[in-house]
Parts: sequence; C-alpha cells; structure tokens
Amino acid sequence: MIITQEKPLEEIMYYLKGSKNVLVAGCDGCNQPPRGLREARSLALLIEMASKLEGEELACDYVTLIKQCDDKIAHSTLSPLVEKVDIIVSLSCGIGVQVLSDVLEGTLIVPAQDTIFMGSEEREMGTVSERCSACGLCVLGSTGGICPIARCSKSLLNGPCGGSQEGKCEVDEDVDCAWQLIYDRLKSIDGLDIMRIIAPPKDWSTSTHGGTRKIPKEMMFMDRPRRETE
Amino acid sequence: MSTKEEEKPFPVDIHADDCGECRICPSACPYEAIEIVQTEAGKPAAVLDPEKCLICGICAPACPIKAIDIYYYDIASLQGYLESKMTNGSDTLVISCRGSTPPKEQLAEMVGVEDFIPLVIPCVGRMPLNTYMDAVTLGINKIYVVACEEDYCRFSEGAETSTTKMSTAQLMMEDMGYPEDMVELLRNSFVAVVDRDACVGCGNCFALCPFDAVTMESPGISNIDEEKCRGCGICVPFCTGMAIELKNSEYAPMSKKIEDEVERTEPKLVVFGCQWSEFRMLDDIHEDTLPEDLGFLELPCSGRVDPLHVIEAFYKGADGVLVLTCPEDLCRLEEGSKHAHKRVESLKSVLEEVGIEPERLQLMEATPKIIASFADALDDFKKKMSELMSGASVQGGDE
Repeated sequence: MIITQEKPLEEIMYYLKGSKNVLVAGCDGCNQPPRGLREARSLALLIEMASKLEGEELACDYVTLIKQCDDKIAHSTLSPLVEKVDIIVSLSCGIGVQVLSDVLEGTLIVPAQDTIFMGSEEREMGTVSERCSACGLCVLGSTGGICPIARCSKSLLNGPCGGSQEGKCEVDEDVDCAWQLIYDRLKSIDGLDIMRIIAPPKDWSTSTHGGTRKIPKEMMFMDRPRRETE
Repeated sequence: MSTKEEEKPFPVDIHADDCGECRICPSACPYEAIEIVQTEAGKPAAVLDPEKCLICGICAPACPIKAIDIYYYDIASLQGYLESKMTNGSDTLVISCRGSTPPKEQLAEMVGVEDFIPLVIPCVGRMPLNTYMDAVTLGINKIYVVACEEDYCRFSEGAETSTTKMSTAQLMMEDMGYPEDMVELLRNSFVAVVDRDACVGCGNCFALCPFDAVTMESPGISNIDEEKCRGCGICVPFCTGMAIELKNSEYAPMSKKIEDEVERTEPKLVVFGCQWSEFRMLDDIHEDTLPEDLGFLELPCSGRVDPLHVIEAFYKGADGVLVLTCPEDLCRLEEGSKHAHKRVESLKSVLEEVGIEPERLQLMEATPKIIASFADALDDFKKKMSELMSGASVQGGDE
C-alpha cells in the first residue's frame, strides 16, 4: 500500500493561517499507517489546540472517506461539506490530495502527510518497507519475487554489483543487498538457472519518463497484453 | 521501587509458626508462589515467594486455621462492610469481580433487583466462605455472584475457584435449611466487539492481539472471538475506523466522563488507571472510594489508554494527566502495560507540538504488591503537577 508519514503539525498550521473553518479529511483506503476516522479526529483536536496557542480562533471538523483516490467518492462525500469550509487538510497520500483538488473547485487542499513509498508492512519487526517503484514492467517473475528496481540501490537488472558485502549494500550497512536476497531466494527454490540469463536493458518508457501515465481503465483487464501508453 | 518493597510489609503474610502444613494453600495458589519448606524453627511450613505472588487473595480464605493474613479485603473488613450495609434495608447481596462488574444500573438489570448491596472485589475466587455465612447470618436472603468467564480470569484460576466455592456455600446453606437457589452464579466478561460496518480492514487488531482472538476475512473485516478475547483493549486505540468498542469502557461515555472530571476538579487532574494496579480496601460502586481531588477513570487494563482520550483531556483544559499502569512484568493482560508505556512516550511529543509541556502527561507504575504504591503515585503526581503549575504561572507573570 501507499505509505505516508505525518507532517509536523507546525507545517500544517503554516497553511492554515487566517482560516476560520477547517475540515480534516481522513482516508480509509490504504490504511497503514492508519489515517482514518480516529486520526482525523485526533488531528482536528490538535489543530484547534495549536491555533489557540497562536491566538487564533479556528473551528476544525473531521470526516473520513472510504478512499480519497476515487474522484466520485471524494466528490460525493465532500461536496456537501465544503461550503462551510475554508480549507481541507487531507490525511491521504499525495494522490488523495490531488483528487480532492480536482473535484473541489475553489477550496484549498493541504496535505497532512508526506507520501514516501509503496510498501509492505512487517508486523513482527514493526516496520514498513519499500517494495515497488511502479516501473510499469514487472520483473518479479525472473527475480524470485524480489524487486531489484525498488530494492537495489542502483536498480540493477543484473546483479549483484561489487558493492555487495556480506549481504549488505555499500550504500548503507543496514540495507540488504537485493541481489543477495534474490540469489538466496532462487537458490532455496532451486531456480539459480534463472540468474544465468542476462537481462536486456529495461524499457523505461513505462516508468516516470513520459509525463503523467494514464490508461483507460477497461484496458487494465480486458485488452491485455497492452503496453502502449497514451 | 525495590527500596519501597523492603520498607513496607508484603500485603500477604503467612504465619509460619501457626502453619499446620495441610498443603491446601500451595495447591490453591494459581502462581505456585507458596511452597512447604523447612523453616528456621525446624518445622515444615508454608512459605510465600513475594516475587511470584500476585495478591489474588485466593490463599487467605483457603487456610483452615487462618494463618494467612491479607492486607486487602480481609475477612474482618468484609464482615464490617456487610454489617454497615445491612442497615440499608436490602436483603440481596451481589458479590462481583472487578473485572466483570458493569455500572450500577446494568448490574441491577443483570440480577433483576434494583436495591441490592454491592460487594466488588478484585477476584471473586478470593471471597471467603465465612463471608457467605456472615451474610446469611446478617439477614441476606439472596446472594448473586457475578464472576468472569473462566478463561477470562485475571488471576488465572479465580473464576474457577469461585465456582467451587459458590457451590460449597450453596450446599452448606441447603444443609442449614435455606432454599436451593440461595446463591446464584452469573458470568460476565467485558470483551472487545467490532462494528463490522465501521471496520476498514486495516488489520491492526489482528496483528496486535496478544490472545490471537482476531481473525480477518475478505473483504477486510475483523472478527473478534469472544471466547478468546481477554478484554485488554490494546486493539481499541489502534482501530482507525473506531470500529472496536471494549464493553464497559466505551469511547463516548469515557469522553463524557473526562469532560465532567475536568469541569469538576481544580487543579484539573485526570488519571487513567489500570484497575489491577491498585486495590482499594473495599470497592463500593454506590460510593466513590477514590480521592475527591482528581478525576479517576478506571480502565480494565492500561492497554485501553486511548491517546485520543488523553488529547481530549488536554483539549478540555486538563492541567495534567496521569496514566497509572502496572509494572510491565506484572501486567495481568500480557502486553497492556507495554503499550501504555509506548503510547505515553509518543503522546508527549504530540502534546509538545500544541504547547503542552510533556511533563503534564505522566506515567506511573503501581501494584497492589506494594502497599500504598497507588496512594504514593497519586501524591507524587499531584506534587509534580502543582510544582509544574506554580512554575508555569511565574512564567506567565513575567510576560
């Protein structure tokens, strides 16, 4: 899911200067870390407390949306509320903030979160980790289910490089070498043969190099395989 | 804390000289804290290991020659309590465990009697048979025992012991010519319940439950198994959809109580206290036996401490908030205390962002194992807050 991190309250308050009516909008979509009803209520209380501290009077209400990344849901939930509101603080990822901006003309939407990556949750470790870069051309089938694009510091398709030391990456000793992980994984499933195949240069045109990627939704399921972007 | 332990007597005391070596107490103790050993005087006697003892109190009434003294809820004070209450005119006694006692009105509904004498104790398993007899002698005509489900018991075997004890009491009373339904057992446990319409399927409850009581099923809905839930409430503050309510510690009534207490007290001090971190001499739900000068919210476990409630308290104008928890290794519900510690730490930085000194939120530990540790913690808290507030007012004056 899309992983976000709370912004410092001070930064949020900077955008709220002079506002009288604020609405905090939670998002129940990707819910780790949670940013739903509870977090919306909590942030609304904190915003009111912080504004009092600055000697301002501000009323902060809260609401949560099933998901902010759906323009129809966003519009139907928020448009009845927006009239009384000067500014909306979105607890969603950067996508939700943009969708809200698209559907709510004339209302400023500010993010309460920094969007950091697409990742997984490791409950035992109490961590979330980056797992996917949305490169648009998935190679997991030939890498033992471990993504070298997201997890190798150089996004190498043929690894490991010389910087792999005792299973760690030279960039940071806390970072696992993705190619060591791929090797171990392939070995454990008797698939090391795959590693002998040299991967050709990757087609990066499917990644973030040609402006906003946009595809008709029905094409995602009903017309595969299809790779042209429009 | 260890120095305090040395200064004060341990709340359970076995008189080795009187011990008849009957071996009932070692077998009654759920924690294997009592052993028969050779004493210095040369005779074998029951000896208590204070490290293992959790003051459930099951041993004291089990001793046939009353060689075990217990500081809280001893036979004499229980009798005194009953005598004092008999003047009320009610002849129904409701003995209930702290962990399973609902508010007064609900309890009345449960037993079907509006006017009754409540006797709330930390574990019904510790209720001495004598007290049942005392009650009957004093004119009680009906005794209800409200106990937790057996798997839910905070003291391992207390609920089970209460069943045996209650049947024994009933048999004894029948022998004396009292009716068969003189003593009635009711089971009640406060478990977590999910509002499936509000669940967003985040999986936090599933990942965090120390009792494996939660399962998740597509499309992302949490199920809490009532049989397995032990009511620690850890899941509640992690529930982003606010879909989980812990029975008897529901969110909204507690918010209301926080508001009332902040309104009522001066200075405005709110305590969220684990009900197992403090034993009062006697709990009486008809009369508040707690200190008057602060607002006390009793929680089933400090794992239920809700950061949102803490924020609400300060939002409403609280001067200070105390989270009172058991030491981590004594948590009656596995991980509650651990979570309370973590939450308080992370809340401090949140509060600082809105101009509330982190010191206004305190976490203190108390345990019935150390007599007066509860009272000491409250005093300490009040002292710290008054120091903080006098400091704050001086600063305010300078401006």
